Amino acid sequence: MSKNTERTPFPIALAGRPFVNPVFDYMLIGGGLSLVVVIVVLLNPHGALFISAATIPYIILLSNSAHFAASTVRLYTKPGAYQTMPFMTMVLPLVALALLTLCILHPDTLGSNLMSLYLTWSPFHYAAQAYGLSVIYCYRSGCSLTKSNKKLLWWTSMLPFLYNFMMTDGVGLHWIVAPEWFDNRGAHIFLGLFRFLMPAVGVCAVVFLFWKTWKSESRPMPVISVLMLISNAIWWFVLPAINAFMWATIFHGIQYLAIVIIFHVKDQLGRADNRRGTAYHVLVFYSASLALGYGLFSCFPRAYIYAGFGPVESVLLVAAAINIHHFVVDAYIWRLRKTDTNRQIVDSSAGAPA
Amino acid sequence: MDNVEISRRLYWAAFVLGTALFLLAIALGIHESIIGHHRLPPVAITYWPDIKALRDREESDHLIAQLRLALYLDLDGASNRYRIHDDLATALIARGDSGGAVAHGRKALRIDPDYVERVHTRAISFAEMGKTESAINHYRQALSLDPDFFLAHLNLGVALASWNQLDDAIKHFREARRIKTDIPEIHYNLGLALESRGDLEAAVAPYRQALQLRPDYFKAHLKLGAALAFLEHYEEAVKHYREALKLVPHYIAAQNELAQLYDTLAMTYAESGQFDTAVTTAEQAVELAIGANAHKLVDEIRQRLELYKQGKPYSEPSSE
Repeated sequence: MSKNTERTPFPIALAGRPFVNPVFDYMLIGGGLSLVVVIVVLLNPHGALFISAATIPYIILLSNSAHFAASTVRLYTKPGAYQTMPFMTMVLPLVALALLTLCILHPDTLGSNLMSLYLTWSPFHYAAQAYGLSVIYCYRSGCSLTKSNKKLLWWTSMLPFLYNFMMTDGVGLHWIVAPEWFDNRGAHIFLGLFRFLMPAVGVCAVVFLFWKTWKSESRPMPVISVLMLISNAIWWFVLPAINAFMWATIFHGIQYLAIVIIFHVKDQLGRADNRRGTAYHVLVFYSASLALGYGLFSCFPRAYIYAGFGPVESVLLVAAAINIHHFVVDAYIWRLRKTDTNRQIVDSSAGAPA
Repeated sequence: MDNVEISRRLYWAAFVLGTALFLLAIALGIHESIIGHHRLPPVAITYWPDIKALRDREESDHLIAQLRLALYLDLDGASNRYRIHDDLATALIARGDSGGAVAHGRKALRIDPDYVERVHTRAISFAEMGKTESAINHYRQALSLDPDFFLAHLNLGVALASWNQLDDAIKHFREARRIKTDIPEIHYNLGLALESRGDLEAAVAPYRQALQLRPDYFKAHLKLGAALAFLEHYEEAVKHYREALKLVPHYIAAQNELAQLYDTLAMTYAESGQFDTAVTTAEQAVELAIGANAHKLVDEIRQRLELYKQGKPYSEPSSE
């Protein structure tokens, strides 16, 4: 890490060392594009421009569905994945399939808990992604976070998740504890204050984190890392829960696709037997993710419908299972161990073709 | 074979099995999408804005799927859960799925104790709009949730009787009477249904019970009078017609019917040789027929009155 610190000039460290170029990184990975769309959505809550009931399914297919599939595509195309993650690559799909079928067989008991688990885990996953990407950009940009700053970054990233955990009906705390717990004046006052204060705490925490790293690290925390935290906070604090689940997944999907494709392409270009260019690898990876996403979300539930299960249970529980599978897989494929190819990619210089 | 090799083989077996099952599922899914008629519910998170539009367009299957989706997601708290259960129950009633409707109705009832009343009120609205089938289905829903809801039994009986489902109507009137004995309308409607089924003798008792509970029940007097007249209990029939006319003095139909009844009585008296009584009774009949503007009837009675005055009974003209 000290190597990066020495190399990175201050302005680049502050802006963040991009993987592709500043505009691409800020708009897609940093979440800048999402802020533009959030403004459009807030100004036109009943739909505007390209956002309508007719276009949303396509946006979801191109972003969400493809992104969930992308982690699976990445898992199976990552060099050495079968050897280093045998359970993940070979056994988990069968386990997931069995659990999903069990939940569809008992939709009102197991199924509803699977849904709650997925909806509780989602904001955590997005918060963890914001944290992970922020750390990656800090690392690439010469900001070697101390243990305490890293902890602060973690908790700052987790604030939107905590907010969702506490506030959303049927999710998090409201899923785990009995409804009677909230049926008293004390709980109402506490949750009211929590709802009111948390957005402010979320923003202040990011500002404090930036100030603290500026003061305590040799290089400041890159602005793109700050932007990621802000974007995730806005998805969950500003948009009402139901919209947050939609927009957060869409933009998380875009962010995810951008970064996973960068890693995949760098892996593929680094192979000794590679004879293809960047565009080919981008196209092949995205096409595979799109096709698998379509299969997973549009064809797979129909198999259960064909078998006689209700369409609602089939669609929802398949989506929940895919999400949870994605969360688990993600926890493994993004590890930055020294021997992992991910580490080499993070270490690589800026501006390399992606 | 060592443990590592066994694990490796098991892993590969799980992988092959998982992949095969997944590919089979995808193939079945594609097959279903080609031959199946199911419309997939939209992606979960986009459900909410569609519900109102679907309700307006009365796309019941799609609406039901969306509502179940909304319920399943359970993101909007208890107040909406009640509404969704209610909407679902209504949509399922419209589709004829009474089992599903009752299941969701029960859940709505757990949230709102007045839910059955609301369903009943909705049924009455349908009945007032002339949507009898919907009204019947909603009354049945209310009764599935509360079998002792006598008002729903009564109103369901009325709706069924209007559809000429008399046996079923009588069953519900009797059930209402079992639950609540002191409601005159229940007895009256039971009498009506029995009468409509042609069981006039059986109708007399409920009419009498209705009048015991409410002596000024005008319609019950009329119906009982008519029934008794048909059963040739003329004296008692006259009494009830008189009571009816005391309550509503210028009720033409009653005057007309009573005029006819007096006319019949006069004929009976004349046939038995009581010509004086026949004359008095026929004169009362004329008076009532004039009050009812029944000119043809007035002329006919007057012709018969002349015969009685001459000491002759009236005989029906031959059909030849």
